[in-house]
Amino acid sequence: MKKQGKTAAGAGMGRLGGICSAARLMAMCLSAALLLGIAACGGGGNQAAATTTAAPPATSAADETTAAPAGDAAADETTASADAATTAAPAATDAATEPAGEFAEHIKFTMSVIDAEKAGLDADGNIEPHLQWLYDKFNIEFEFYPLTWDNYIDQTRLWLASNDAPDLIMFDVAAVRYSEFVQSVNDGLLKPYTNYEQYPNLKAKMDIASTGRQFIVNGELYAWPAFLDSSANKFRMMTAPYYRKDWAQAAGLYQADHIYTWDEWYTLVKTVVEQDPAGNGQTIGLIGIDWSLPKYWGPGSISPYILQYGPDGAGGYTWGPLLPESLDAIKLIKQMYDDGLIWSDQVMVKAEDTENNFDGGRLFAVSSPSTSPGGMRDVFKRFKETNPESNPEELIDFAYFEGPDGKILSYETNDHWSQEAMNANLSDEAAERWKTVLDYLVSDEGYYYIALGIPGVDWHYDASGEPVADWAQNEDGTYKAPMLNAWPWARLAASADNADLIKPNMPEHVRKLYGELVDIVLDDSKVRQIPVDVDLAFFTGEAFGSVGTLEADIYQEVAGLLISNDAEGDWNRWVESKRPVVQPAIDEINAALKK
Amino acid sequence: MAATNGYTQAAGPKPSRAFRRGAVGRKGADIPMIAMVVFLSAWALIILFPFYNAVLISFAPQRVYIRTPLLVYPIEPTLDAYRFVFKWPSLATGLRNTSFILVVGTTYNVLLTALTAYALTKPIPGRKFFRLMILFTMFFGGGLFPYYLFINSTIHLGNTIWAMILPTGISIMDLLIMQSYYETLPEEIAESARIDGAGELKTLFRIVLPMCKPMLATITLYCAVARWNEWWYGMLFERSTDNYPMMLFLRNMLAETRAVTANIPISQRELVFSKGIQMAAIIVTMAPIVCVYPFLQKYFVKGITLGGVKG
Repeated sequence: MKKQGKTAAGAGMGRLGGICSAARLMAMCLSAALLLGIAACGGGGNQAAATTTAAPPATSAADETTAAPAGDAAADETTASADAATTAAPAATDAATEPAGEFAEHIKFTMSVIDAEKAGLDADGNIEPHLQWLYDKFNIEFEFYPLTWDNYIDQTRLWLASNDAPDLIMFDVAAVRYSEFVQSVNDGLLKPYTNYEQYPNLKAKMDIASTGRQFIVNGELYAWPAFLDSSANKFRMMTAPYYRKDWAQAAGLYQADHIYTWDEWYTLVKTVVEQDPAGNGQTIGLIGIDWSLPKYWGPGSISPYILQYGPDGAGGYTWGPLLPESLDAIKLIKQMYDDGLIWSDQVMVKAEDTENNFDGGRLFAVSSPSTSPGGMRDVFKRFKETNPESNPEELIDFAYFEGPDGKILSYETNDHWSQEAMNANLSDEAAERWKTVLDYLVSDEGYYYIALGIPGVDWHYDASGEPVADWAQNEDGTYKAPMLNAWPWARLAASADNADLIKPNMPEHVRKLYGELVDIVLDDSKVRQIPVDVDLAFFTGEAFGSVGTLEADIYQEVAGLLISNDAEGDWNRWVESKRPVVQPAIDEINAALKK
Repeated sequence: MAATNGYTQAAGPKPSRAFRRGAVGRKGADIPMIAMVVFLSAWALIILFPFYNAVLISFAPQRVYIRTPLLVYPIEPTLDAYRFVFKWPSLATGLRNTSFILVVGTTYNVLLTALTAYALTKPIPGRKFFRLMILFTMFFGGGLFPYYLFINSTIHLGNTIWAMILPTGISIMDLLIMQSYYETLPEEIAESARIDGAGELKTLFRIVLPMCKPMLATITLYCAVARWNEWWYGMLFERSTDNYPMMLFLRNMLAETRAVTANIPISQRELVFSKGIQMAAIIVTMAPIVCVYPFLQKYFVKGITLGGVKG
């Protein structure tokens, strides 16, 4: 309402003075609060890096079995060895599906997963029989906490910091967040998988683990590594891009053995772009999504550590871009761009640009370093959906190309893709139940349960002990998978990607192609294998933890250099500008790890 | 001088030839006017084309989009994406939750804003202090973790739909606007109500608020739009997707790009594509606001100027 009575000048001056006093008082209170906050949060000294126990010698489970079929994954071998395992552990069961006495108590687990709104549900929103079978077998239930790929890190941090985390936490530690994981352990936020050795399948998996053993902290396993299913390719990243075979054939440069030399590949891509099969200048040679550009299109062979820390050649470590060969890699990328091999709009690339342009008949090759049987099948299937009149088998092929050093570049991968941690507040009984469930899921039968469905219903063992799918068939001859949304929760136990090879929906030509590509990547005479430096990958340090690898900055810089008039100068200047930022991390690493 | 086009010449400079000649289309059309119309039309097309393109993509099959990403007219239109969206269980859940948040939240916001703003116009003890404290929250917050702990552990609103309604009771900007508007109203009307024996609440609801209908409409509209777009608190506090607002489902779907269809085994997937589903979902969630906005546009414009501090 309108004010009355006071004179304007007197009221104004009085009001102004009052406001100034109040502002001063508020400023003082705020400063005091900030100082108190700093005093409270500071101190406590340096956070010492948590030490990990020396890993026990890896033993081959195969040595202990006599019945395991040859060539199977370690999971198969552990089932046979389970019979000879300790009797004190709860049995990894292949037995009856009715809850045994030990499962009399119904336990509900909260679990954070990606795609929680679909996890374990069929198309009508009901719990899938596949998941219900697990529930009935172990008398459990899951309540899924939702995560998305762009918020899962922050959301997990928030839950942990506020003591509001679910029982089973999808931790998904990237290497640079390992220090966070260790800190969570030290803060008592996670429950260890105590005595996991008593569970034969868990023990067998951990016994042959490599990088997965990093989650043993202070002698206890604090997160279950969701092991990758790389039994075929031995954790060697298969860096074969897929490309238009017909265009290569038209150029007269097609190699049927899936291997191109660097010169052959370079000439092929350049020729295809010049011939412009897409018409009207629309043919694109290569598109790189972030990491694939500096790593997998040839420059990675010159500088495999361009995106990370790596050996400096003197027994120590340095930041990859600081290595002299990284400049050579940048020059090569720039040359490829100037020669028209790389998409002119690479600077603005989005994830879907590769598939859309390839399926739309405008792109020659797509880098796919995580080639899996299912992924390869999807390439052909997706192309067919977009081009119904085409025969993708005749148009698409996968191939390796040698780098400028004459070798096919392959990185050793982690043996796991994510981790499942337990909340420290989980009761001991619930933790034991979860370990029992997990032990089943990583067993031989559990592997096929995740991949093929309910044993005895959706698949069975044939006379030779091989699993055979019993999937229903659709009218068009394709097979109907018995579960729709097992992925969000099941893969946190273990991935079963290679099981795609035995699924009835896997086309024979994909099986054959996958096998040929695996044979190549396992040939040490053809491949330059970049091993995982476990000590470095899981290094914990204050400076290293805060600086990281600056990988995102490197991508951005490399993309910008494509259109630079002075790529070499810009790169050198950028690298030098980052030197003071990364030097503390380099010093910290070398202080701990330099030989 | 004779009037032309209804203009009566008064003392003063003659209006420009362009003004006297009027709009385009007359004999001797005006070049600057034509240029302005052309420029503004092109600008409008540039602004509207992405929406138009989104509509076209939502009706296009995947193979058409991949071959022709920049659609100018419908090609082989299909309702597959819309069927997918409307069959999607989360849409109904999201719509239900958002509707609840919209109705209850907007009512709560407007009521609280009206009451608080009215109180701040009264000479209550500590009025300046309360006003400063309220203003303080415009610039400073307690931080995400304390806020999360407070909502979750202290007042136990976590994982309930009320976490998206109760904590955001008042928008400070709306409060200030409302307060300023109250101060423009004549004091005498409220005084006469008091003389007649009306208490403060009765004065507010029977006398003052009826006089503030334009302002109330503006505040209601702002609050309603904010409630409709609610997703942040849903992401923060909701652990059950049953409580997700519609915008959070949409946001998750867009953030996941192809997650809607990617995790379905390829043998099971319907023949829809993620881009079309995204566009269809955007159109579906945008449609209610787009339909209502033309009728409420004047309130948006008015709201910018209403409640401005008068002399």
